[in-house]
Parts: sequence; C-alpha cells; structure tokens
Amino acid sequence: MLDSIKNEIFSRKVLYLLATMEHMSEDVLSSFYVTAGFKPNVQAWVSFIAKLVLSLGILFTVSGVIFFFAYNWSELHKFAKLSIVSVLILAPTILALLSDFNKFHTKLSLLAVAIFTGSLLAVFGQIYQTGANAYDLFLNWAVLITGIALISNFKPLWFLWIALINTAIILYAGQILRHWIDPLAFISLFFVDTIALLIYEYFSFRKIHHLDSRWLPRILGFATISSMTVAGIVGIVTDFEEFGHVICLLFAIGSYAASFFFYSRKIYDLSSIAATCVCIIAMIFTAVLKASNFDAASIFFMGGFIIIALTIASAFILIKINNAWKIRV
Amino acid sequence: MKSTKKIIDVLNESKLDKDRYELYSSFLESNLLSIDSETNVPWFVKIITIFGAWFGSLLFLGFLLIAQLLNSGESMIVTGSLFIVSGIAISYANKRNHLIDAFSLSLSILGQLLLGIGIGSKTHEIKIVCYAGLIIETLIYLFAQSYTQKFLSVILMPACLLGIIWNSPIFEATQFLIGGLTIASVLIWTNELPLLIWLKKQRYFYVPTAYGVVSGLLLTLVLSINNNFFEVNINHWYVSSLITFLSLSFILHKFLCQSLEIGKKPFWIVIIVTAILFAPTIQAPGVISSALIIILGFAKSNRALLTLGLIFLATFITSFYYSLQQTLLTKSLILMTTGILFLVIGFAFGQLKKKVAIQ
Repeated sequence: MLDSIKNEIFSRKVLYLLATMEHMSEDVLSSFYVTAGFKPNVQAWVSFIAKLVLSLGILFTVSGVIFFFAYNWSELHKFAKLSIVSVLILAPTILALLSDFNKFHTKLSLLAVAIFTGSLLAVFGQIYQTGANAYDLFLNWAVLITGIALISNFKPLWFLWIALINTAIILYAGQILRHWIDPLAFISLFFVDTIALLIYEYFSFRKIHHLDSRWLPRILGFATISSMTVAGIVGIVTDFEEFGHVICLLFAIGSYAASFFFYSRKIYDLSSIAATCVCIIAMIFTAVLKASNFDAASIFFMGGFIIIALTIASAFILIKINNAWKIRV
Repeated sequence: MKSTKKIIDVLNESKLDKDRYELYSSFLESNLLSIDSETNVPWFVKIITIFGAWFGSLLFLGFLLIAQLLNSGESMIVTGSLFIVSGIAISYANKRNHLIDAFSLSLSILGQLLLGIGIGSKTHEIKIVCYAGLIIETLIYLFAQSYTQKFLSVILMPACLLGIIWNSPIFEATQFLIGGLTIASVLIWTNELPLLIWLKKQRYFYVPTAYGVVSGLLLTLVLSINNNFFEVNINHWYVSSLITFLSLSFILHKFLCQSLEIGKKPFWIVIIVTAILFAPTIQAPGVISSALIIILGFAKSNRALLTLGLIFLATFITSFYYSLQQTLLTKSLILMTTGILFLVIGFAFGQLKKKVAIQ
C-alpha cells in the first residue's frame, strides 16, 4: 500500500468510499465504523454529557444572576450590591483554590470569576458615578483578570481577555479620539491580536498537546486580518485622506501573504487561509467599485463577475494547497 | 470524536483474511487519490463557493434588471429555465475541476432566482412561485450531479412548502412539516451505513440529503423564535416539541440501550430527566430540536452536526428567555434554578464518570 494511503486518517470520507465497493456488506462496513472509533463508548458518553451539562449550568446560573441584578438594582443598598458581587467572585475562587487546577470545573470556576469581575466594576462605576468612560471599564476589567487568564490555561478565558482588550481599544477610538475609524485604533487592534496569535502559534508549533484545537487561533487570525481589511477598505473609499490607512493597507497585504505562507507550509490550517481569501475578495471588490465611481450598473455587472471569479479562484487555490499538504504529509 | 486512527491501523485491527485485506487496500489505493474533488474538499471551501455564487449571482441579476435586459416575465422564465438546465448539465462534467462546479452552482442559483421572479411578476401569487419552486428543486435534487446543488434543493423544498401554506388556514401544518423533518433527520443519520450501502451507485444523494434535512429543520424552526417578529400564526408549537421528544427518546434508546447495552432503569431515568429539563421549553421546539442534533452529532462522531446543534441551541435558548412574558425577577429565578439543576446533574455525571473509569 502506498505510504500516502497508509498514513491517511480513516475519516468519514474513507468510509463513504468503501461503501461504494461492489460487494461491500453492511456488517463489514459496520466493523470498520466501530474499529475506526466512530462509535463512542459509555465513558465518552458520560464525559460528553457531564461537560455539556456543566457548561450549560454555569451559563444559566451566571445569566440568572445578571437578570437578578437588572431587576433588583434600584432597591438594593450600595453595600448589598457590592457584597453580592463580591460573594459571587469569592465562591468560585474558593472552589478553584480547593480543586485541581487541571480539572474542567476548576477552569469553569475561573471563567466565572473573570466574568463577575466585570460585574463588580460595572456595579462600582454605577454606584459611585465615577464618570469613567466605557473603555475604562473594559480596560480595567482586562487588567484585573490578567493573572487569572495567565494561570488558567483555559482557552475561553484567554478569548474573553483578548476580547476585552479589543473592546477597550474600539471604545477608546470612539469615545476619546471621537473617531471610530481611526487608523491608530485599527493598528492597535492589529498588534494586540497578532501578538496573541504569534504566541499561541509558537506554542502550538511546538506541539503542546492542549493547544491542538484551532478555534482560538482561527478567531484571532480572522480578527487580525479583518481589522486591517476594514481599515484598508475605509482608506480606499475615503481616497486615503489619512496616511494611517495606507499603513493599514500595507499591513493588510503583509498579513495576507503571511497567512498564506504560514498556514500552508508551517501549521496546516486551511480555514485561516479561507478567511484570508474572503478578506482579499472584499478588498478587491471595494477597489473595483471605487474605480467605477460606484456607478449602479457597474456595481451590479462587474461586481457579479468579479465575485464569482474571485470565489472560483479562491476555491481553486484552497484545493491546491489542501492537495499539496496531503502529498507532503 | 474525530477518528484518529490511520487506514492501515483500521485494516490491521479489523482481523481480515489476506484476500479481503488485499481487496480493500487495493481499492483504497486506486480510488482514494482519484476520488472526485467534491468529497475531498473541506466544508468551508464549499461554504465560500456557495456564498460567492449567491452574492455574485444576485449582483449579476441586479445588473440584468437595471439594464432592462430582462424586462418581461416571459424573458425571465425562459432565461431562468435555460440557466437551471445548464447548471444541471454542467454538473455532469469533470468533477475534479472545481471551477466548473462553482460555475454550475452560480448558473443554477441565478436561474432559480430569475424563474422565481419571472413567475412572480406574471402571476403576482407567491403560492404559484412556491409550487414551481417545489418542482424545480425536486428536479435539481433528482438530476444534478453536485453535492452543493442537491444540498440547497433539500433546504429549499421545505421553504417552498412553507410558502404554499403561509398564513393560510392550514398553517399549523407547519408542525407536521417540522415533525417530518425531525423524523427524517433521525432516520437518515441512524441508518447511515445501510443507506450508504443501498445508495452505493448513487453517491451524490446521501451526504447532501443528510445535512440538508438537518439544516432545513433548524432553519424552519427559526419561525418559532418569536411569533411577533415573524407574524406567524402558529400557537401550538408543543406538537413539534412532542414529536421531537419522541424522536429524541428513540435515538437515546437506539444508542444507549441497543448499542451500549445500558439497562432499562437507567434509560428511563434519562428519559424522565430529559422530559423534566425540556418541559419549560415546550412552546420553543427549537431548543429540544437543537439538543437532538447535538446528541445525534455526538453519537455519530460528526463534528459538523455537533457544531450546528450547539450554535442553534445557543440561539434558541437566548431567544426563548428573551421573549418570555415574565418580569426580570422571574426570568432570573428560572435561569438560576435551571442552572443549579444542570450543575447538580453535571456533578452527578462527574461522579458517574469516575465510577465508569474504575470499571
């Protein structure tokens, strides 16, 4: 048997292919299905239901608490408000300290602590009417949970932390700079997300086991590329009135190239390349519309052909990379 | 969840005799590399293809209308029909060339839009458009040699049925449409292997039908989110919930009792707990349907189904609590009580997990 076939994973595609064999029977196909590990055992069922139900429990409880605050807010004394939130932070903290840090419920407790820290800041700000801007809340929230995020080793918590930093930057642009599409804000978002992505991918490249899942780097990658894409599009539409948008466009082009290079040669992640293709399509489409001075007929006529052509080209490139990676593996 | 075993490991562990081993390995060797490109492509490439084809087709359609090239219903019907037939015909072409596949998809989508607009402009009746749509989607499903076109046709068929009965006296029949889609989803996925064997020469049918039925079900259930938002005159959503609950019981029986040989007592405990958990959401069938898709996805080790179920579960639960006609205090108490119940069940399963691990 060819090495490339031997080392290929027995996926659903292989199962479907075997089903097309002339004399393939249901019993033989079933045995391949079970041997390949598609049928979860009792342990897998119990583990799955435990995780699902536990996650739903935390989410429902946290949501219930938030609704409770929303209802009772005006009647409660200020110390009662602060005490309630403080207890909500202390309880999961104590649970986390008394449990093994590697357990799933401990990590969920740390996530609850992080979320309720935000509630505490919101309550404090509302009681004392500090006059702080919203970006202050998100920035302070991110700063306060930095320690928890670093020790938790829990990807949803890392996501929350990075999302808070991103939100603080966007709100800073809108509330302080009074310019939502300021290039400085976009560049800041780009650097924050890129640094986070590079750190994650560095450790992922070193094959650290629990960094196998790809949802977080995919979100970070998309955030990185899309921030520069949006800034580039704004620059194109406004004829690059601000020089910062030119820099954003250059960063966008650089990040497209980096994404193609890195995710096709170093860490195989076709979905990140697919997201890059979508951003490139958006950028080129905007440039063409701008070149046609946003004429209605041109938008519809050329736009239709351009979108179809670029989509076809993207699909072609993605399949080529996919096949090249398979041969390499 | 995903299989991590290599082909050679599965063949070795299957304890096959020498002839069968050679037969299967040579089949895989000759077919795996030359397998048609549609099944070899990750799902997001297909999503990009579909969205690109949709968006591009809409823009091109807009141009045709602005330039008044299709200024009569008849010209739209003729052009649309030609595009649909071309889309089906091109789908028989060389499958390794994805450009052709994307092109045939665009033609098919554009043709369907033109045909629908043409018939609508002639008849001014949405029902007639939906009847025509049903016929066209059936033809595409039967004759197109394209996973994507068949997938879209499976999703659009229930949409056409809904259009036919929309706001009519029999609109409550939507319950049975949803029930039918639920039962179809369960039967198609629980009989995955027998259906694959039966359809071995018609390989373009199983995958798009299986995923299309599930997607069609979840999209149709969006109607149940908020009656006011959609102005939908359906009040007895509990019918759909009951059918879904029975379907969920069926798959739990199949996977827990028949496959894992769990006793009847634990099975009935699971059913009773499930009934108690989903009873408050009986008028929101989206919640229990998403849970059914999640269970199905896990039982079949299918990450796509699992992800789809989780996304829609989050959507349906959020909309359910948002639209509850209760004060914030009552909503908070309901959420906290449900949350604590889940946590208790979660810890119980955590203890059970340790017990099972020891055994």
